[in-house]
Amino acid sequence: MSRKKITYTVPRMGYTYAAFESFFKILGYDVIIPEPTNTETIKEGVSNSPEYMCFPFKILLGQFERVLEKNPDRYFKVVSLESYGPCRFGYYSPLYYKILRDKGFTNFEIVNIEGIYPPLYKGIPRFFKKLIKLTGWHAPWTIVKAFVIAGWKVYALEQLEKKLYYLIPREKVTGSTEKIFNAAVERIRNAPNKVKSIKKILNEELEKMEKNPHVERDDLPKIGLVGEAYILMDYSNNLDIEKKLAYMGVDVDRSLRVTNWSLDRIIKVKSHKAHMLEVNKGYLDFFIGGDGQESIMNTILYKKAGYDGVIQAQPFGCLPETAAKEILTKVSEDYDIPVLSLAFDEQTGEAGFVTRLEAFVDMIKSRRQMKKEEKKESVTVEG
Amino acid sequence: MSKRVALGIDIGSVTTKVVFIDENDEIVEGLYIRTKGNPIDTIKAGMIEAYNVISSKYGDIEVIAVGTTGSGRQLAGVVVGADIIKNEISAHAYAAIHEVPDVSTIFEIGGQDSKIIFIRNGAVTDFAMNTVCAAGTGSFLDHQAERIGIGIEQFGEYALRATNPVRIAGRCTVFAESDMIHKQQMGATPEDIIAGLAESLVRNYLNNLARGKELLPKFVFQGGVSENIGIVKAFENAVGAEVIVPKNNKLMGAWGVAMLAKREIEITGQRTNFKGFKVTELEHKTRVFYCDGCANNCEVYEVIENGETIAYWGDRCGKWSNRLTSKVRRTERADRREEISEK
Repeated sequence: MSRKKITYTVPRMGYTYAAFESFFKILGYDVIIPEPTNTETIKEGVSNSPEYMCFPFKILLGQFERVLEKNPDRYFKVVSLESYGPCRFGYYSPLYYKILRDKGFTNFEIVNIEGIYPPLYKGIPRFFKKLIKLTGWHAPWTIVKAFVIAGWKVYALEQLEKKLYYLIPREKVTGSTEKIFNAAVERIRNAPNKVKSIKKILNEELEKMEKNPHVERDDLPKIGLVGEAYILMDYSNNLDIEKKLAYMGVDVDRSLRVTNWSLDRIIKVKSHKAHMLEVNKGYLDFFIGGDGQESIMNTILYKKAGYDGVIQAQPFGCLPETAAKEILTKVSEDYDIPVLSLAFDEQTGEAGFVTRLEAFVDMIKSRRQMKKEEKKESVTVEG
Repeated sequence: MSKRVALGIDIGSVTTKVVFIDENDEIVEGLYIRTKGNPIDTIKAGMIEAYNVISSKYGDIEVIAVGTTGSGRQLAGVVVGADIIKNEISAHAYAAIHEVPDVSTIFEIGGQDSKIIFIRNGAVTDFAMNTVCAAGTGSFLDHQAERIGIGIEQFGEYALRATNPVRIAGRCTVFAESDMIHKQQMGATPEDIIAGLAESLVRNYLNNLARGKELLPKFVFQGGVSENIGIVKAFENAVGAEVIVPKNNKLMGAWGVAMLAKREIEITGQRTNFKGFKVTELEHKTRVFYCDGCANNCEVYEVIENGETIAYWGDRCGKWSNRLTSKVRRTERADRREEISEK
């Protein structure tokens, strides 16, 4: 099969799909990005997956199905992220393969990428084998170049996103920053494949956003988001929780991003291990799959960074997150930080969801007020 | 001089509560009606009814502030012109703290959701809401009352008369119902079954919402289900302390939001956005459509008042909802208010 004929499709992860797209384009393939999660893809995914399956699985199945359906004359490599471990996340790709085959699609194969797992003498060759299966044979420098460019694009998009959520609660004209941001994402997506030009565009756009009239303030309540990676990272799955919180006037931060996720999970950096020590000691000392341990770790880190509250976003019925949720009750007590758990499923009705968010923000504001008053009192007593 | 009142509307899943409060935050008139399928018509009917009662008592009234809460708060807010649209947790907590200042734990069970609110030193410090299942909420009790064939109002008395409550699974409505039917076919009396149901509901509530958290007195129990003496008793047995049911137990949400709206107006010093009682004579329509502007395919909701769109929501990008920014809306409302009053 010649190189040009294969088309790739990858899961959408928030805005970072632009980076994955350029990764495969540099290798010389066509890429089709699935549409964001919407009523159609959910309907498709839910009706074809086992009822007890994780919600991210259903979403992705629906998205892939729509891509295959719309392009019957192409041959696809469907990229699926996967973990090697105890939860259902480890069985995604065989199940996709079976279900899509049963539906009568033949124009695809499924490739996946996963981290390096111990023992290393087995894990490293396994990782490279998977990588070659994913990308096909290429000159090493092409692959390195693709990684570098994609990495830079992911980094640029995440910087823009951070800036956006920083500016929304501070902007003077509601919605003005978002407009600049949307244009910036398009520019990064279409940026030429050179590190220099990506850097240049990023700096220009950040400056443009910075110049948008806003009021600097540092007294906003701060909320951190933890939870399952795919629900958390893709705005179309979590009903835009970050933007909603930002528009409610909250400084919001997401614990999982593509960059730190891959550094922590695929490359396994040292700082991650150090942070994990505390989790291991008191709460959960083994890997339960998914992002269960990370949720606990990040809640503790948020408390240490001075955040006022944490929201845990989980797909309904997710094994690791359900376990983490119970442990978080204890963490919340020990570290005195409120934690709100939100389960996401196929419902798009936002009433209950917004109610919980609003009430949580109200509560955090009143807690801040109480703390301030306590401080004042203690100061006057001392004085 | 006309009587100055503030209006609070709580549009729940099953019932709608309309409350008028006077300047001392006391309830002048409160109504509790079923929402049925159409919240807008229910609100209008409730407002007219309450207005008639009050005006016959006090003559002319002037509404100085309006607040809405409950799951239909947004819709009600744009229809009547609310000054404050508040989530029901804050509204319920505000009213409970007003009524019982040293409350520490609030149980609230409504039609479709149940919540527990923790209060320390007069401020909400934590809360939990039932997640996905409606087991142990008002609508399930309602349904069971209908199935057994007794009025929901008598449910509590039945439970109190029980001598030997049977055990009923409380985690899932499907399990609960099949358990109830099984025990009924085995010969258990309705009294024992109902008492068992109350116990299982409370057990499920505490397991589900209060898990691992410290329950401190005083306890306040409010929401529609608090009418049920059987469940109040079951709560008292479970927590081992007195559970206070405030006198306006069913109206707490609407009362709280009315007080919050009044406070808001006092702080900001603005005039109310309330469109006047003439709003009940206007025609309101709602429309749902799928926006095809991008691949998101959002479900967009449109509220139309006398042929003119007054609100959009549901779009992710703001393409529709930004068309009517809040500022424009406010001036429009002021104009419309004049128009209506001229008529």
